[in-house]
Amino acid sequence: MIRLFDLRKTYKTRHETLEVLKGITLTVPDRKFVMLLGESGSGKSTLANILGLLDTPTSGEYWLDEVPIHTLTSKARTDLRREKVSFVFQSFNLIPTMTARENIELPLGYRGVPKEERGERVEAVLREVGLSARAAHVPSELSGGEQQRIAIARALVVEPSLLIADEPTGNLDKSTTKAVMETLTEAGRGKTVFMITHNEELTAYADEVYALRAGLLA
Amino acid sequence: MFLMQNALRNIGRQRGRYRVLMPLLLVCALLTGVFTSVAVPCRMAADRGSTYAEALDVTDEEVLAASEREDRARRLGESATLLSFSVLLVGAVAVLYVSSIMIGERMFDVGILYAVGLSRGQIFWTLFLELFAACTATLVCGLAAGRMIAGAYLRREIAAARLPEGILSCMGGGVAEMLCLGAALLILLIPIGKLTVRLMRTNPTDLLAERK
Ligand SMILES: Nc1ncnc2c1ncn2[C@@H]1O[C@H](COP(=O)(O)OP(=O)(O)O)[C@@H](O)[C@H]1O
Ligand SMILES: [Mg+2]
Repeated sequence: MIRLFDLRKTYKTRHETLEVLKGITLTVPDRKFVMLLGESGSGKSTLANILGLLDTPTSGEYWLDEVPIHTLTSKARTDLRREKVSFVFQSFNLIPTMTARENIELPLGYRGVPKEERGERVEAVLREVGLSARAAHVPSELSGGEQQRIAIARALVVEPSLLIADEPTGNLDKSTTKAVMETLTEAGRGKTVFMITHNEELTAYADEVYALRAGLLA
Repeated sequence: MFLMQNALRNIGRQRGRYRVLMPLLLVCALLTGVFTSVAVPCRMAADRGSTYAEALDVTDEEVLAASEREDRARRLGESATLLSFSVLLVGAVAVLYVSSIMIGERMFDVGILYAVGLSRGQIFWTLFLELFAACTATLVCGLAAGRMIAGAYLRREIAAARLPEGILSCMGGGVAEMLCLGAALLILLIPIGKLTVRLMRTNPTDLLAERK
């Protein structure tokens, strides 16, 4: 469960202070697929990064599963993020020198999962996204849609309870968007998915839809 | 353990990036190895002085020839020392430059690793192990090869009676070469230090944004 209370974020540059989030109050129950719409520069990514524990709010409260995130130290936040949160980005962000399989295995290796279990979990999640046949290819040999599905597999292999997807279809055309959305809803079932988009057609996939306008939720 | 494996695998994968750094390091290490391995024994032999001349059963000509050899050894030793220092300096600057660029390029990967759930410490060790393993291996190879070349050169000069014979016994156990290795690896600490500072300071989301 995510609960936000009067969450604010301001960026201070040398000449000005930019108030990006101006008091967000929001409750997201577990296992919901939530979409956030909004124009470019409206602060969607800023909000997503705060929800995903990559960034911190300037003020306000953020409770994740009854843990007061706004009071945690940076170290505690990182640990919690590792345990609970995964990300999917617009630009796929796969490591270009590694194969799809190695990209997926990466977070497991660093979490100290033994080799055999790593292999099993990687194959399972590859099957889930329907790309077992493409696992030995490096990202440049995969289509955009396939790369994004590999990125989804990498996000899900660590079994997070919260999946943040920041414009996952932003670089894709219509038909691959459909494939990626299907993967995301199928594989993301049973998790809270927080997805950002500015494609209003995709709201059909969501349980709940919010829009961010002028730093406030509507 | 996974960190180690990953570091080694990365070196294999990142051939493009190491294609510049490795040969550069290798050449520097090779030259430094040659010059140091020539300089040290030459100077030691020259400094030990002419015990040879005090022996009674040698002719004047032999004494003359011996002191000439020592002179040559001294001069050779001095110029080789100078050369080895200048190569070391040039190499240091070059390595510093290239490794900084390499780390700069890797910041994007760092962003990914961060988002995938690695801690800053793990990211640091990943990059550190990778750079360190690559550099140490290259440097050791270069210095060892340099030492062999230097040995061959000295032997030829002795055979041609241009250098005193005792010189090879002064080559020592490679202490000087080890010192060079240490110095080179110390230089590597600078970009790695910069990397650490950058890792600690920047917000991981900025690292991912950088590429766009
Ligand atoms: N690190 C930062 N420093 C200063 N301003 C920032 C930073 N990150 C984002 N911004 C600004 O905050 C606003 C919202 O950014 P962002 O959350 O990325 O928007 P969106 O994802 O909706 O396009 C933008 O105007 C952007 O310029
Ligand atoms: Mg954005």
